Amino acid sequence: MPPTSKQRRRIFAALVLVFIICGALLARTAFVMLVRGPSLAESGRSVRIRRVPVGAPRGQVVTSDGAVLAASKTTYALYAVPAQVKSPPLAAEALASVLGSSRERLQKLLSRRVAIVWLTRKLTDAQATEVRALHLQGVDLAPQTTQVFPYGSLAGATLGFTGIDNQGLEGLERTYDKVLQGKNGSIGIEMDARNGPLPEPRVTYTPPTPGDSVVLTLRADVQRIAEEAAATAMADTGAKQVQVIVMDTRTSSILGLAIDPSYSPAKFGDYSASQRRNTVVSDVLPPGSTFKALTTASALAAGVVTPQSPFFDPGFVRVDGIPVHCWKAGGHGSIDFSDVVAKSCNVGFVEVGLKLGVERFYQYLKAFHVIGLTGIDLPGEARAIVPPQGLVKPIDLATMAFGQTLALSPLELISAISAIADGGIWHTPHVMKEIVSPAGKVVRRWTDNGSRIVPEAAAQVAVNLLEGVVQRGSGRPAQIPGYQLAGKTGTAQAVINGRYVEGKYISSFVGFGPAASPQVAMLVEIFEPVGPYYGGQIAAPVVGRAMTQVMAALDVPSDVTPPAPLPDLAGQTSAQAQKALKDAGMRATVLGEGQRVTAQFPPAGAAVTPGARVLVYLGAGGQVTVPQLVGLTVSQAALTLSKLGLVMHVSGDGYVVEQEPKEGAKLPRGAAVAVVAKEKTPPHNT
Amino acid sequence: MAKRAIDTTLLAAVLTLLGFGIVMVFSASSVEAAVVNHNAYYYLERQMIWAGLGLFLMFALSRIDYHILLRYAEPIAWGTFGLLVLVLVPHIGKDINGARRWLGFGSLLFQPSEMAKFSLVLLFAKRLATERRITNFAHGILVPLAILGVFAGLIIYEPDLGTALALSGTVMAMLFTAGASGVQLGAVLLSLVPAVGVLIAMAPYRMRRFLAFLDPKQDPLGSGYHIIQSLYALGSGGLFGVGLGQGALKYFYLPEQHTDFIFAIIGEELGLLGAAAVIALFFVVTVRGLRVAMLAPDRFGALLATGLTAMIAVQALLNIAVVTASMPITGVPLPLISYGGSSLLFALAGIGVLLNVSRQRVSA
Repeated sequence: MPPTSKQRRRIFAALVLVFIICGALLARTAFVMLVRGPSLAESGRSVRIRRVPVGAPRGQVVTSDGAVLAASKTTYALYAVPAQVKSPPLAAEALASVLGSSRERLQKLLSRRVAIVWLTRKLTDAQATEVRALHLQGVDLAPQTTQVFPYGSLAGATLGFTGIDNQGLEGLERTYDKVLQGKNGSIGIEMDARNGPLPEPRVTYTPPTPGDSVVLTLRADVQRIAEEAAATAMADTGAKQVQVIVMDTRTSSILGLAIDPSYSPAKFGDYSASQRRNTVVSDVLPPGSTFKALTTASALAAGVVTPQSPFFDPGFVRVDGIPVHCWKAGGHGSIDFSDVVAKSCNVGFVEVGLKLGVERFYQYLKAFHVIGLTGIDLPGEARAIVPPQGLVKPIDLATMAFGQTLALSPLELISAISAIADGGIWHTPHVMKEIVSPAGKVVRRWTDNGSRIVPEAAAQVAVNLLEGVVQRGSGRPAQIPGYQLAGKTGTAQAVINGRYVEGKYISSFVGFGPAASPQVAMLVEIFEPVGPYYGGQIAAPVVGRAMTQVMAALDVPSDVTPPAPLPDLAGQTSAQAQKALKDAGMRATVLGEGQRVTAQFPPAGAAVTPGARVLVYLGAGGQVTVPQLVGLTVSQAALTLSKLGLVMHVSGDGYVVEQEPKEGAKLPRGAAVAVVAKEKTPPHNT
Repeated sequence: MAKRAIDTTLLAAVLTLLGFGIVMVFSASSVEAAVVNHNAYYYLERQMIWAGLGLFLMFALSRIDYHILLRYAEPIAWGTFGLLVLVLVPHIGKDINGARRWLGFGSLLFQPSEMAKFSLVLLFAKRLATERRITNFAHGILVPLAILGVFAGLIIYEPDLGTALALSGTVMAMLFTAGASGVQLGAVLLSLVPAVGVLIAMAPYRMRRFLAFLDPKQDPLGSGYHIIQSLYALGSGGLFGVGLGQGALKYFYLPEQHTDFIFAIIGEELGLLGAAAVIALFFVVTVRGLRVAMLAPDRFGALLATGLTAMIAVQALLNIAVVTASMPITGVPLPLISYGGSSLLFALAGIGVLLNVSRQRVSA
């Protein structure tokens, strides 16, 4: 019985169905393999690739004057991809002679069924060159980095350190870790699913991207001055710790930061955590009288005092019935506010604080960033300890006004001082100047336009008052030639476990200059000195000496103009002489009548401060009569002679007892009269 | 009845697929064989032995009149039924990866479900050829489906849904060719959709495979892993492939790389050209097989040839659909190519019978 035609038709229908399905599957296969193919192939490969990280060189830390404080040193590590090594015994033999290590060990490593083996790390440059020259397939060098500190412990407290995986743990290494660390590269090897390499695997090397470098505001020269000053102060005072901070008052950038005893970041493991602390930032301490600078600026800004405001200090004042004593037994008596500041009178400041009131006092604490953080780009910034505003009693306010009852970090103190010095503009303190890419391009710059926290006039007056501290007050030991400094001394009882300790002190001085246009501030804190402990005695001279060096290093122009020699005007016309003096920055007073200059006072060649008045004598009236000088004081005699155009040569001090030539003699103007002064009391007129 | 030459085009296509398959089994399996079996040729050797046995069986069957074979259709079906029951008995049936599909010792394993396809084609060819009430629902649909249900049920219980599916497809093709009512067949197929849904929902692993088919990226290391690696393999191939033996996916990434997923390795190493050639060869086998059916001297021959051709075609299409992520994963080997003794043996046996039918064709 043959198949029916219906059956044949159905067989054909089945064939058509198969044809359609085959076509559909062919289309589907082509779609998967050609259209989705490239991306599928790529995904598949990325799944098969195992990556071995290659550490990125860490960015450098450089001072603003170009000293590389921390750098990344590249060494080479030798690795092999065993699957690519043609003959492990031959490769092992070649490498053994270069590396000086055992052939057996190398051969064993090169024969392992793993993606990658590290043969040796930290090759010398010579070894690296030799290995490259071998041209061994499957053997290659990968850069590795270690951190080095070319300047040793310089700026260690600011730098901080990195851990073994090159991650920043402390200091700016921590703050700028992301910037410095760069991006790790990798060695990628195509592997099988059991972590064995594929035969002839594709090996890709993705080079690491080096980290960006941080250029600091710190200057190596200033940093060194600060560290030497700290070390010297340690030796001189036998203190437990000395801190020195140098800040550019115009930007609040830190130029130098020294803590002695110091620590070396290269060997950070040898130091305890407390030795590695940047205490300038992370510890608070009672500021003592240095805080009066802030009270002064606040009180002036609030308008509660002027420099001439009268005060009376009987030696103590009662607040809430509690007597608060001035440091000076018996008190300062009747003085004005400028002397309250200059002499650091506690009783005066108690009154200023109470006048200011809690609300305004706290308002300025916030403005000066004493309450709150300064926002410095270093980790671990401490918060000041200040009584809660709602709980402050008059006695607390009174003592806070002269620097007790609160504690703040040295950084907070100098940042606030810097704001006063900059005419009342607050800048965020910082150590980063700019961030530079490995190609040398500046990728980020510290910008801070500042914000006004104290009116300019008030800040200017505060600066003048603080200048008085150094000129005639407790800060006189900080005086230096060539520059007018302003500042404030401080002596605080040390606080241990939250209590003031009798007999242990923190001596400090914060200063800045040049007073006419401040550029640099410096804070010195001396912890528990042995012997003298007043800030004015031991901290102010440290600031003075270091400031002299810093001013020179920074090329800060002197605000005390040096005297210049006076030109010889003899024989010139009146107009010529006046012009010559004007050009030299001097003022001329013309005396007598005549054609030509016959004499001048002071005489030619004398060193004269610019702006001084010079007497010019014209005509023949050149002869003067010597007056009687005996019985006058030296200064009276000098004044008398100068009016006549005569020069005085003096020996001794006090009242004039002899003169040569005698009274009545005739001398040409400009000639000298010699006097001898002796007596401390005026001789009796007999 | 005229004795003619066998269909040489069919034979050539089959031998090409067989030879190509042996090469690809070696390429796909050597890495795993070297590591796991410590003999890179492990699977190659076994596949060649089975191919030898299969070729012998093929040539023998091509010379035995298929009418003689049909006489033994019932005993063979009963024997197969016995083996399918036996394989489910613990300690007798060998349990591999949670499925009890194999009988035998050591590495000499036999899969009764592969035999079932061959046996049922014989049985149905005999029954349907003499069935006069083929358009009657009870005789044309219900009884055949009951018999199929018994066999497929046993196979699903192993579990081996893929083979049961291939078996069912083959039987459906035979019912269709025999002249069963198209409306009734269509209704049955529609009613199977919810049945398959229930089967998927019943077994958690089937559910996971189904979900992985819908979105393999949901679980790329779990249920989606297999199909993702299969797509990676195909995608890596492009037009010309990465080269024979050069593929990466066989390095323990793609599971079943030399059995159910060998088509992915073919795509990876030989590209779209290789994959298309395989599809084309299966189409040639189908065309020639159905031509044999149409030219068969009687209904027995026509149904037998249709069934044997469908056995190869349905499985090939299922396999390729799975590997290209066109349907959820069901474990079906690619006939004549995938590694596997029983599959290869019965595929070649079927071709042998098919060639015998071709020898008895009525005209060119």
